[in-house]
Amino acid sequence: MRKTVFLMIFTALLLSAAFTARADVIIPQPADEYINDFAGVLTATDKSSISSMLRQASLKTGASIEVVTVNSVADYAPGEDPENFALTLFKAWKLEEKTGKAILIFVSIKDRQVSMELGSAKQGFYDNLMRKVVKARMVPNFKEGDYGRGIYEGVRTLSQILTKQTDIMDIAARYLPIGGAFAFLLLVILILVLLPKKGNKPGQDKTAEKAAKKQPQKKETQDIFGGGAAGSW
Amino acid sequence: MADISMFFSLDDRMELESALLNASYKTTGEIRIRVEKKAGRDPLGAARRAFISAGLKNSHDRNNVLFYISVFDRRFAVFGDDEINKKVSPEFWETVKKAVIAKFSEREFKLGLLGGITIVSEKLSGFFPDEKIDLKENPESITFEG
Repeated sequence: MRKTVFLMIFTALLLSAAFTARADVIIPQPADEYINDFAGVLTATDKSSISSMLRQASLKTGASIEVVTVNSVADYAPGEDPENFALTLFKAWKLEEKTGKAILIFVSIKDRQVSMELGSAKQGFYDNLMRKVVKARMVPNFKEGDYGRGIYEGVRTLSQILTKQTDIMDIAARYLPIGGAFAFLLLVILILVLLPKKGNKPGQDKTAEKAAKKQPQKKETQDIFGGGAAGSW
Repeated sequence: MADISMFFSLDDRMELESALLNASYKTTGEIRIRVEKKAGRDPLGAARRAFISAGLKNSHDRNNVLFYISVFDRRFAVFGDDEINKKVSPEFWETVKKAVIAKFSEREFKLGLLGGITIVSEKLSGFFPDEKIDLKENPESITFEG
């Protein structure tokens, strides 16, 4: 009996500990408008070059991009998944409320995690692109321990993409009285529908294929397409 | 150099990947680099085979381009699919080849390819501009044999 009571108390304690740990999420306060390097992995030069690029990107696109680095998510929210924590920060700092469009680049050094939190509006079609940017631009530098360069490259690519694509987004949103995302989808469909008229006649491929079949296949079938040049050095 | 994946240093590779990624935003065409050990007598044929096995053929616009390098017999080829090939003159591929090989002869492999990528990417974005957001998953841009 005593044992059972002890067990019950023990379980209750454990449970309450678990719940309080959950509630013990520390939200760091932003110290800078663009970069909050809580992990201290960026040099002053890194910070100034990244900041100036973020400032330019925000001027050009109207979107605010925020960079946050932490040593480990466990320091702020034990047991929390880095991506969830990034989302918590994104909401707690009310990033979207500032400009309507916001992106949070979150780097957790010990967890070896990078995530880009996007504003709700863009999430759908930017996700893959962001993954590409993280994989190609940021991760290779992070693996070398060069966080400054990784973040710089990531931000540069991101702002290039945003500058190019805000124009299309804005046009779509302006002319169609529905959500920008849906409007953009329609625009893409329109472009796809209109394109074949310009060049790719659907019939062309089939006739080319038939012609290819009629030809006696002396060489490998691969030889009947494309072109190029070759040489040695 | 037994391991041909060491053909580029990490930094070079990174720079090339960046150039390829940048090029991919401007056009629907995709440029890739393939490094193999030996091309044999017909490097253009080897490039064409590599082009097919990389899955670059039969894209929507038929406009992908492959830069092919064979390390041991020092061959280079640039190969483009039907539609881009129809748009450019045969001299265009020769120009690209010469520009790349000129740098390769100085053992400047990265610079050679960067130059080649710039020339091809300009043509591609002129003929096949990318008007939509690129959602296609981009597999490895630079691949190595073996």
